[in-house]
Amino acid sequence: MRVMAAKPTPTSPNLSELPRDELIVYGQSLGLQLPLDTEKGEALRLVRRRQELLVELDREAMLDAVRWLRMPVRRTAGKEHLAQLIARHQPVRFDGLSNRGLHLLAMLSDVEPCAGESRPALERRLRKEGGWSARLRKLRRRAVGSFVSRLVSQAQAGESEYRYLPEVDSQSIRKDIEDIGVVGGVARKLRGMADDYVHEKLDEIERRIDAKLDEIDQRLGEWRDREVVHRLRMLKITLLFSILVVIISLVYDYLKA
Amino acid sequence: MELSIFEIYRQLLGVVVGTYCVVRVCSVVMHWQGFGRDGDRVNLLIRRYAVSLFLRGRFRQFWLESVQIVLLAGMLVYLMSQHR
Repeated sequence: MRVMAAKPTPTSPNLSELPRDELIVYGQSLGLQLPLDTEKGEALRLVRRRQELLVELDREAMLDAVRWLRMPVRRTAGKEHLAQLIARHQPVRFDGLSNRGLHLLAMLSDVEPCAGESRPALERRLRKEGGWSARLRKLRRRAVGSFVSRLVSQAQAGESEYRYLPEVDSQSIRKDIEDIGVVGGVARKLRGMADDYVHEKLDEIERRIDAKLDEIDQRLGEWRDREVVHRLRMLKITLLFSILVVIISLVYDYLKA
Repeated sequence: MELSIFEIYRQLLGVVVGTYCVVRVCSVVMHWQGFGRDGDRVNLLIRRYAVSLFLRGRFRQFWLESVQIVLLAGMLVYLMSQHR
């Protein structure tokens, strides 16, 4: 496996400064299975280990996986971005994926490929990863996917070849200037870069809002559970008190008799 | 009717608790009826969220308390049946 040098992306956050919830969301975006109640130290350790794994992974294998998943990406995209794209998918079939891409998916899913392990065996282990609930979810998705694909099969005659997003470079600026002049070309390029920046920031804001809404939902769920426990406790105390009074009444009746 | 301290206690408890239950149930019913009747978008969203929050409750985690309450209620009914 070819080892690439670590290259931090401009959007990589400073991990130790992140609050716990954002650190967990960041780890989940890298494909880690982090429960929401994970301790910050543990989450930090796992995220750092995942970053070390990303440094060791072959970038070409990651591009293989992204191409196979048909996610739009630039050829020069960083490993972290590629890992985030891959982590959004949990495929159940691996037809057409290269061997190195399959090994990469296994490593990102915490399934360590054994030496000399056959491809079908590794695919089987990848499918089993996640337990029964994940397998049931995948089966359900497969059924829905089969149904939808039958509905739209007329619209999709066949899959076209994968194409990367165009790179932002001097060649494309020159072509734009040739096509629509200096001002128009530069304006188009600036507009494209500004659009990219705005999209990235909007995605980031959306992710933060989603994380906060999840946190609010979790706290409301905890409040609901506490409220149910409180009500049940009050009911229990009332019943105990009633039983005590009934026992005293019984003793009184017995003594009177 | 024979007058005893427990008879007075039972009568008093019946009046107080019965009145409280009727008033409380009416108040809760009116409150929820008002909550379900208002039709603006925010209330609609909150109503749907409240229903989904209730339906997502993991009530299996309260099984021990529920069993205790059922046992206590059974014990109460049995003891009450022992009264002459």
